[in-house]
Amino acid sequence: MSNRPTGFCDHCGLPLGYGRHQGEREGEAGQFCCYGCFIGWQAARGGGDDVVAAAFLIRLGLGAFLAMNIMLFSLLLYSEALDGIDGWLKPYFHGLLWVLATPVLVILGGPFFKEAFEAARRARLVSSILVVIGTSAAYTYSAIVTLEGGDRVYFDAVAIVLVLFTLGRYLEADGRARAARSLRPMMEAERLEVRCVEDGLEIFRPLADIETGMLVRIEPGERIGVDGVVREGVSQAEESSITGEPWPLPKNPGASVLAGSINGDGTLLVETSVAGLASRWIAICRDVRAALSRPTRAQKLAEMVAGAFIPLVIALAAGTIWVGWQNGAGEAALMSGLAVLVVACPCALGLATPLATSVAIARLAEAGILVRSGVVLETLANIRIMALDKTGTLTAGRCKCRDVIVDNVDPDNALERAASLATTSEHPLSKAICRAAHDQDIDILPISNVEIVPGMGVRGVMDGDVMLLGSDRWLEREGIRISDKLRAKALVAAEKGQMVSMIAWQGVARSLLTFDDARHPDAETLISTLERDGIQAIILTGDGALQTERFCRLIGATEWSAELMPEDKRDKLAHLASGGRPLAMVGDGANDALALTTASVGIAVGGATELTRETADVVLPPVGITALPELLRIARLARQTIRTNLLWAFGYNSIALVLAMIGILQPVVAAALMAGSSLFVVVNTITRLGPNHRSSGNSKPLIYHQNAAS
Amino acid sequence: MGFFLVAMLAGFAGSFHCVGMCGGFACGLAQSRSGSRVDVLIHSLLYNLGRLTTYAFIGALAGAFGAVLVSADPLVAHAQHDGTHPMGMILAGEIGLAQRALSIVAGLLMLLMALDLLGLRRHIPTSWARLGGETVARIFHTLLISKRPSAAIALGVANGFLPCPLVLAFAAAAAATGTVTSAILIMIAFGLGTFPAMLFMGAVGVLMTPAVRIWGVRLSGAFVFIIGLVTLARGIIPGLLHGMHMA
Repeated sequence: MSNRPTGFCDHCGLPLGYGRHQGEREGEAGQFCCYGCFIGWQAARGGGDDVVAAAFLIRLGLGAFLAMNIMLFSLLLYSEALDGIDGWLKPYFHGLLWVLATPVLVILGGPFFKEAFEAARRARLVSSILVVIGTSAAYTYSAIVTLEGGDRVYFDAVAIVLVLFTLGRYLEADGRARAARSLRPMMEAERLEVRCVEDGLEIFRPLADIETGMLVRIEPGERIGVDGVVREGVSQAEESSITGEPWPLPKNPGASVLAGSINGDGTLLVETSVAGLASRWIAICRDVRAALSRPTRAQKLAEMVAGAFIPLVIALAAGTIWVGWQNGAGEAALMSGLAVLVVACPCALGLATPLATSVAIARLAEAGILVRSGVVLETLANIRIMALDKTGTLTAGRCKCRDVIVDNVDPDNALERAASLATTSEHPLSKAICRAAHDQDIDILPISNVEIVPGMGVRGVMDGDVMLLGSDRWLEREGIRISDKLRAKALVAAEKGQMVSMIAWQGVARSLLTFDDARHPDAETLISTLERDGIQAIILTGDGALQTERFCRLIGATEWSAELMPEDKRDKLAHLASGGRPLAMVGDGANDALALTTASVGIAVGGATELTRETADVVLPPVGITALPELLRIARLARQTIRTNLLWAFGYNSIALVLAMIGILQPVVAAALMAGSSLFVVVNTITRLGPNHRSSGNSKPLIYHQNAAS
Repeated sequence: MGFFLVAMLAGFAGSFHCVGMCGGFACGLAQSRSGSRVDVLIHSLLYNLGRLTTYAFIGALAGAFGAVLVSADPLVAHAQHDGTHPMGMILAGEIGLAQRALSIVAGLLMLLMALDLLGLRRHIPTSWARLGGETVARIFHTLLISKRPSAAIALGVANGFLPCPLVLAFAAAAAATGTVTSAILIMIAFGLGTFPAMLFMGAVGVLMTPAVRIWGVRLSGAFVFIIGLVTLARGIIPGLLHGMHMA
């Protein structure tokens, strides 16, 4: 008795006792004396104040009430209880059952009738038609028996089948909602309301009313609704769904926060930097929603099969009844026919693919990976070749200018000229030059007549001198003289795996700039993962052959193609794909746009910019290729889940169908089996693909505390 | 009839716990409907009617389960076939072997539930509770806030299916009877026993302090304990208490 829990139930106020339950709802913890109290407490704190759901539940409850009464009376009528009662009472009981069954057919059967009728008007068959035919046939038959004073009515089967079917639909819907729970914030992103602080008052405002420069308060654990800069408060934020960064990042005054990230355990006051609906998070949410609305090939196929299935089942049911009737089975044949109709309902079939796809897309979105559609996911699971761009994809994209080697000029002068040209370009090497100049306090001088030659370099005029900054190949092609000394140094650098760039003026190459391109920390892991999964990795780059070879050896890649122009990359991909093998291209959304659109699946690194969203099928978060193995894993997992779902839906339906045809399966059992089939698909999908426990509360506070301590 | 009376008394005593728990729903039902007293009473009646139907239905299922087991007993089947009392029936007393086994299992289950109600044992593992809790919670909440009379029935129906130890205990007792009719009647008796407290729970909730309520739960635990012992004894000692056998 010593460890008996103390305290009182949060719901009913009774002492806790040994039946103690602990539960949580939206962060609020409670303890209860029993399960019922736990549920009661949760219910009282609400959540589902949806009018549609309420109407549905009321219908279901009312239907169940009537159906249970019908079944009770039927049991009494056909079991031992009324054996002694004279036959004259029976028709009255039948009449009573008829009266009770009619509203069940209306309130529970109604939605099925409506669905079937509306589909029929568009000349389509839906699975509801099976329920409609089955229950209305049994109902009509029983009504005739009642009028004629016959022996046995089947109103109980009608009512229970409808209840179980409706209940199955509900549980399935609920399971789906749970499976796709991680999608919920994305579905409702625009409807989010944020706490605006105006004149010291907190006012809830929808995102649409949020403008740049407003102050927004963010409570601990909340999803941050706006992009902005922290003005007050200290906290952390988990930005995985935007940046792919799995660990919470500290947020102090001056730090920028991103909409869509989850605030840690401090309160923040944030000044918005863009309008509420202009954040990247909103754009991501729109993309995910668009992706979910595009049906996949497997889904279209399943729908087609289900469509063909329905007339077949109706024929089978009719055949079952006819054969049974011929063999003298009488009314039992009618029940077998009803069981056939009920058990063959291909609900699980229609659910198998879209559910798995949605859950997978949701889960990827949670990790910051945007997938354009379910079709992309299907293709990804099948790819055998993956082409990867080098700079910015397999390298960290932030390279460092290492040496400035000069040929009879002042190094500072060379760097000054190079940096002045480089400011006009967005190329990673240009940025490295600018950083180097900045570090050495070298000024940028004005340049005129700037011309950027994609894949080559930049040309511009300074103090009347035409200057070129770019690859040695381009300089040569432009007729620039390159001294043997610079050539030799360039070769040495390339052998070390460094990248090189040259700056020339007055027709002569004056200086060689060498760069260290830091490998992406996960480049090696990625290559070995791809190899393990039997995916051929090919590196396509515009860089020189020597440094490419050197780089590829470092990360363990065995196939590469160097010195490629954007068009060359496209041609190369077209060549690789000519065997009909699906092919993925991973690259920088801006420089590799052409290649990305050529591949079966174009995967862009570097976050969702307007441009990459146009050209890529998949957008990786800013962590880049780190997210790639997870993407492939989920894609394959989704394929596997879809396969088991389909196998189950087909197999289960087929076996049950045979049992029903030979009369072993009662309609009521058949209806229960059907509901079970859909539930299996839901549960299978959740257990295989559902959100893992990473985001479910327990681990997060731990991380925060660790951070706070360190 | 004694059996039904005890079931009803257990329901009555146990319902004071329900006022805290299930009654929470019914209270909510009364509060959320700002109509006249008559309206509130009608809603309460509908709610309880729904609950009673579910109990009867659970009784029917349990009874049907028991009946199937009993009729599957080879001795019973044999006896039914030729109309004689074979040796086995004599050995088993009034009832067949299958029904004896059923009585023992049901009796043990009831004793467990009684310990539960008496606060001496830990029941349903929390992990089970987590499984469907959220779905169930949402159902109740949705039904609670609806103002339609039909929502009251639906709420009662759903409430009846909550895994309450009392209901489980009487479902076991119902199964042990081995006949559908007696099974339904037991559950109806139990359900009727819970009526008074649940119908007027507004008043009960105010009058009854948690201390009083916990004694109600203990009392109902004692009743369940008695019925459990009787059921168990019917399985173990042949011929005992056949006056309570209601077939």
